[in-house]
Amino acid sequence: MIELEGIAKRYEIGAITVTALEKVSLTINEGEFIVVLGPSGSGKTTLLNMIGALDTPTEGRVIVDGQEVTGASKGQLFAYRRSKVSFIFQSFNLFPGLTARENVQFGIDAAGKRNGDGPGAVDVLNDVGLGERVAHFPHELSGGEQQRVAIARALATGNPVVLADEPTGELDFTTGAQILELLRRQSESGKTILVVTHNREISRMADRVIELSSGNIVHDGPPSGGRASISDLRW
Amino acid sequence: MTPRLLLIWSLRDLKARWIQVITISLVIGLGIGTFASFNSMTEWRKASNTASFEVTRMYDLRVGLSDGSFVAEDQLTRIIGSIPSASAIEGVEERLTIPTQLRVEAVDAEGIEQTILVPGELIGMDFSDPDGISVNRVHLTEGRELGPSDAGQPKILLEHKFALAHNLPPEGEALLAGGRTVSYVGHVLAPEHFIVITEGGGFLAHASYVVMFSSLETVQDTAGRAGLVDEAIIRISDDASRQEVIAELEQALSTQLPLVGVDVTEDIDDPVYRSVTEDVEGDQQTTNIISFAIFIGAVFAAFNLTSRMVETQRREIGVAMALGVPPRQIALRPLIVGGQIAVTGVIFGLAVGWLLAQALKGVLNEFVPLPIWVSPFQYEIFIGVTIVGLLVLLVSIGYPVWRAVGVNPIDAIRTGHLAARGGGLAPLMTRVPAPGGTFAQLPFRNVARAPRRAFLTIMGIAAAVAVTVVLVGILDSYLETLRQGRDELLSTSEERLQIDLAIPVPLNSSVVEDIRSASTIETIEPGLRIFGALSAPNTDEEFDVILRFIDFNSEIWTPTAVRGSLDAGPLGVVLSEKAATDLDVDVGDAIVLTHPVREGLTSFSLKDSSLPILAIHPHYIRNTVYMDNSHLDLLNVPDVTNRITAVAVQGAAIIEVKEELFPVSGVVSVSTVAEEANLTEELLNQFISVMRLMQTVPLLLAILIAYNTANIAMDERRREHATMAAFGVPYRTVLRMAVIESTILGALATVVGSVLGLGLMLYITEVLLPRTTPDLGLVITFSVTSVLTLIALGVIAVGLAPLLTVRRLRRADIPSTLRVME
Repeated sequence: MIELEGIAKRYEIGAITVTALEKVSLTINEGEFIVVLGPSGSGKTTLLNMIGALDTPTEGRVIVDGQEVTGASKGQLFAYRRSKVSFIFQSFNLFPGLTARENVQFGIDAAGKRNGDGPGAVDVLNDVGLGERVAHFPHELSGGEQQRVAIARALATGNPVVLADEPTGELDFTTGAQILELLRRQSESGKTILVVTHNREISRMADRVIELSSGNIVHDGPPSGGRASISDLRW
Repeated sequence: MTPRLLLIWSLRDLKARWIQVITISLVIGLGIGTFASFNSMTEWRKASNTASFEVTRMYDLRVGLSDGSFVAEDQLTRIIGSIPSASAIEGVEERLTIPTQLRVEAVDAEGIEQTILVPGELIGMDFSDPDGISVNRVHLTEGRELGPSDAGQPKILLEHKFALAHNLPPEGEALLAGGRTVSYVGHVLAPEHFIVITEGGGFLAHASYVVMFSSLETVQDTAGRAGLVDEAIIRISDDASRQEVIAELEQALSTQLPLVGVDVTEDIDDPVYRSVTEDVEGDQQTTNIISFAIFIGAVFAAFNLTSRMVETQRREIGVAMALGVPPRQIALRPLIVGGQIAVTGVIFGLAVGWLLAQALKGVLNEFVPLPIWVSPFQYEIFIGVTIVGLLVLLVSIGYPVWRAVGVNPIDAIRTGHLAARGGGLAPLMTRVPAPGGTFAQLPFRNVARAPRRAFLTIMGIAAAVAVTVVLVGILDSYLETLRQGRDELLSTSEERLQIDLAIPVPLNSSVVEDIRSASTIETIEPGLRIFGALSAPNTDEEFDVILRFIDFNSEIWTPTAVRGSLDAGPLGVVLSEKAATDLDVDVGDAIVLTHPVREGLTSFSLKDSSLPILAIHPHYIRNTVYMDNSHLDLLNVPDVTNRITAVAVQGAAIIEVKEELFPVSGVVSVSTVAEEANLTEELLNQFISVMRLMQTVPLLLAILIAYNTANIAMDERRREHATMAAFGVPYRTVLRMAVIESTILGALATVVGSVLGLGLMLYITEVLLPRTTPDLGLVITFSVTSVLTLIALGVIAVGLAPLLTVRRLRRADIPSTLRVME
């Protein structure tokens, strides 16, 4: 379980103070599929970075499984990222010198897992439908395939929380829908999934929608109109 | 876009990458500076040599009598004046040179008093002409010169470097061998002694071998050779044909002095003149290779680094194309940046060049102080190399710009996965089974991903490694050669003494008896040392040699026979390996030995004898030839000696032996063989200091290239590093990968550089050095220490360069980097 207590983030840009998050408090439970929704500059990526310990809040606390992350040392934060969270990025951030299998293997290696501790890289790639493309390099894959490799890399770590920042931002509708379906399946199997997006349509498929505006939570609950299936989405 | 905006924008580009800009500029500066300073040095040396030899009126021709031969004063002048081309003769000086010893009290730099007792030579010249000496003048550095009133007086001038080495005042008292007291009244430089070479070939021997100058009468009186001379030196007009004058002189001398061995030689035959002038040419070729390699290394590095800087502007170039800006205008901004880097590089180059030139000049001035040292700024060289440097930079900027504007704008603008490029040679790497996980694979893949970039980096560092290979290889070869020579000389009797006599004397003469009966001497073995020349029927090669008659059955020391055997019975010679190689002969073959043959009391003629080779000895100097004492009749001088090998009694110090033998008339030098070897090592230490200075340049270049490569790689990989950090990969693991990647480049560069360097070193040692130092048989060697040095330079220094970027890695803004869409 992840708890955020009064998290605020402010940046000093010259003489101006910019507030990215304003005393945000929330609790995220295991297995939830959450969409963090908001326009550009609303603080949604900042919120994701706080949960992923990529950034530190100006004030407030982040507590994961009863342990406070906020005051942890750099080494502890690295260890936290290795064992608790996995990232999926809008522009995938695959390693161009590694094949699809090796990129996924990187996730396993980064988590410090030995081969045999969990599903292997090829197994995870099979799960995301890329069993035939394991030996391909990123530049030989389509955008959707690359994002699936990135998802496989995140899943291969075995970490309980997956943080996805605009994962469909660079993809067409069909491919984006496939990616969301894939993430949705992961939450059903027990992983906590946080998807950051500015696309309101995507929020319709979430268990819970946290909507941000100017650094404040303006809505936290099920999607208005109820949860929709992937096939009902359009954008 | 206005020129002002372009300029401001380009300056901002520079500011944004100031570390890389400074490093590239330094790399260019090192290349330009090294090339320019080395070449300036050559020009300065040439100009200084010409001026110095001119002001001292170095002779053009020398008429020298064979060892032990003398003629009456004015006889040589008359013969020279009788030739058909006599009108071309601008000056003639007759001289008498005698070997002797000098004993002088000195106070060293620390104020400690000491007695200096060294062998040397005393040169008698005509100081009476009020216009000065017409040929081979001395150049006063301290005290006063000799004049007409000093004729016949016990007044001498000391060679400048000897006086400097022993901190001697301009005036003082000294003793010559035999106990004659003389006053030295000044210090001088002389053209034949800009480098002091001993009679035995000891190089840069100014501290342990004294050259003295006095009036001809004084030297004749000291030697007991009243009215006699043994050489004449000549200056001829510039438009005269040297060969014609030489032929006429040889003809006149053979006719008028039929029983005396006479040799007519040119200034270029003088070992010092040849060394000083030809060394410049030889050194120039060597330094050209070294400086060119450094320059090329800098070019590769600059090309690589500037290309990568331009590539980071790929999107901006694409946007400009999309906005319809003409390619020429797009190219302007990066070209202005290139120009600014080039200008900074040239400024650094001037600074590096000036600093290096000053350092080299200082070292050279210490080696060979000249009366005139000219070092005008070499505009042509600096301008030439600067233009090349500028062109290289503009090409290295222009090429990637040309490539960038050659694509469709959309291909340049694309971000994210759409901008993903090919994996270079990385796909090939997947076929190579390699151990380890992805962390171990990534550094190899990164190198393979950009083969062109890796190639340029490798070549830049390889050039630095190649220069280091050349420098340490030459140094190692010299050291090994000297070690082997020392082992050969000191193998059986390290403390044995070599006592040189002024002239060959009978074995039963008083001087030999005085030495034999000296209280500090245990045993003696007489021998003879005389000059000759060696040639072979199958080659055009001919060179001067020192012919040493020794006892092949000696219990004190004999040369080692690496082939053949030292057999005292048959008539034959023992040659050095180098001599045998140069003459293309071996044991059992015949060589032609040109040697003196006694004709009268003070005259020797020269004769060619065909002699078989009995054995080959390993000493690196090719011009020592040994024969057994039993064959002295070849010279028509049975039972004479001028070099005695001796062993001191147990417990007697060398200085005690020197002191005891100093008053013995006829003894001109007492030294141990170890002293000779030490002399060479002192010379080598100075040589090493020059090499160390030169080694710093490629070392600095390699580190700069490696650092900048690591720095740019850190920039280019910042998203990958941020992704790793997001996955919790510790910085130390990221750094380890960067170090491994850099080490791979360093290792490849070391291999390439070593191969190139070995090729260059072999060219220098096998082709260039034999031209300037033909007497030296260099043993080509590469020591373990040098191999380790190279590994340290190429692999470790380059490999560890990414550690210098650790601060940047730690301070990277991970969230922002991950969001950047490139």
